[in-house]
Amino acid sequence: MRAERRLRARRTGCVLAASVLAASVLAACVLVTVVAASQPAAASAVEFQGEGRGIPVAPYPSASSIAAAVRYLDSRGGASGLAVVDSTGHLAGVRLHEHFRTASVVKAMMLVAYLQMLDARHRSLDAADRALLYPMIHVSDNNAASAVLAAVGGEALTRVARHAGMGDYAPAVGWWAFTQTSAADQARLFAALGQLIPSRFYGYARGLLSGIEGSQSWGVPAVARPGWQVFFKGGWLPMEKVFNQVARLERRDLSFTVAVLTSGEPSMAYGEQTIEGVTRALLGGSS
Amino acid sequence: MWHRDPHARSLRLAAVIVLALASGVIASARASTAPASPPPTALSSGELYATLSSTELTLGAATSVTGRLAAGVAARAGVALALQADPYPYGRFATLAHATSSADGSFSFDGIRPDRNTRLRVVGEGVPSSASRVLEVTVDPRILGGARSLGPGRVRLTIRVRHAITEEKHAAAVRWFLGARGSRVFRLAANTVSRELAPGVTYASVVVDPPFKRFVWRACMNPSWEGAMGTAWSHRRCPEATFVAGRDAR
Repeated sequence: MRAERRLRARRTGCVLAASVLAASVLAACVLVTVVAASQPAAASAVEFQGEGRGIPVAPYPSASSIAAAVRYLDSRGGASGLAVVDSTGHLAGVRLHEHFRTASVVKAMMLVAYLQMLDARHRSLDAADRALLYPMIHVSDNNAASAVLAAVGGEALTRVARHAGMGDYAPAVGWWAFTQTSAADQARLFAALGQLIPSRFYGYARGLLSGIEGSQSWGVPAVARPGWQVFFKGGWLPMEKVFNQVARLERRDLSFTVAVLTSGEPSMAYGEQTIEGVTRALLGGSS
Repeated sequence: MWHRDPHARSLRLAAVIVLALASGVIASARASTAPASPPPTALSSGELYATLSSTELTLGAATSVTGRLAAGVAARAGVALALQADPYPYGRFATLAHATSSADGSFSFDGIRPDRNTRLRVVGEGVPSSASRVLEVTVDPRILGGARSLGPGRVRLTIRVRHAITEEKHAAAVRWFLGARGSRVFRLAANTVSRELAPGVTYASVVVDPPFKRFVWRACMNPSWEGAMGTAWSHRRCPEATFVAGRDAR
């Protein structure tokens, strides 16, 4: 009987405790709800959003300069495309997505792909790497370019094109110089070099692209230097009458990229003049 | 045979209450005459109820733990209690503060300022098995941001973050995004790294070209101390390129 009583007493206690617990939980829920409602939504632990005011600089080159460059290009013979990614990142030009053969300007893509490959393998640049990359860019050596392409593989170029937003890119059929591209593609590529090239190799790449041999530094660098730092790659196929140049121009906090692709130009000298005329129009006498 | 007599049950319950009150009075008398020795308690698991005044704080802000002893605890006044804390990365509770319950069995621990995510519980002094449920406090870093125009095309953006002091001191990559006011599209404008000005104070800055006269900007980083602070859902990776902010973003 005593055991039964104890059991009953324990049951009564349990009922009382459960009631108290239920009331406490209810009270706690109400409290938590009130607290939650009075607090702002939780923010990311290390994210901050603010507002700012400033004086935006006008895009460079100006729309009128780009229009002047387009007019000049249209006055020249042959087929051509011009693309400019201005200092605010806006793309402008003419026949932006018309397809051209890259000729040797594709070597800039190969440079990016090779440096990405090294980075993926956690490798630094060694003498063998430099022995390929330097001649490929400095004197546009074709054998070095073929070796680089063999090392990275064609898929690596496609990957670079995808990451750079080069929507008109198409791999070459046959020789790599026949890679298909557009002025918009090339201007976008040079605008994105800072994001595409692993940061530890970016300085090296800039050194290569700004240190091209004098005899190949016609076109944009011939006009823009010394007022601008010019990182560029040219390409030409005299038999095909193709003369191309893509350049990134930097001055203090200002930078923009320009791509001029041509075909059917009467001569190399004519092609060089075309690209230099476009550059003069873009810079509007500010070089 | 035990009878189901409601009167007899009431009488027994009244006797129990009288006994409990009497023991409470005795315990109070003991506490007043001998404060050095806390009264013996009969606390056990489930008899301590505690809640937090704030479950999420910004570093430096205070929260309180309040609660009470269950109605069934014999001696509800003067029960010695301890607040225990188990800060991130968790694993060991240590006593943070002491208090005694008041006459109605309630208690309060005020001015608790954890410097990182912390688990709290209340236990009866010397009775570890009497712990309340674990209360979790989320502590967010205190972030101050600034934007200052330096002239045409140049605005300096800064963030100064006060956070938990940890042993790891790695510079973190900081991504800076710009967007138009009212737009949820943020474009990556720059990548920089942070530096620790002093223990627990991280700083980062960048000079950007303002896209508009008035614009919104965001700075995002994933520092080494991230796990110690903030809600778990906030520990996502920073966007690496242009992104569209979710509707919950501020």
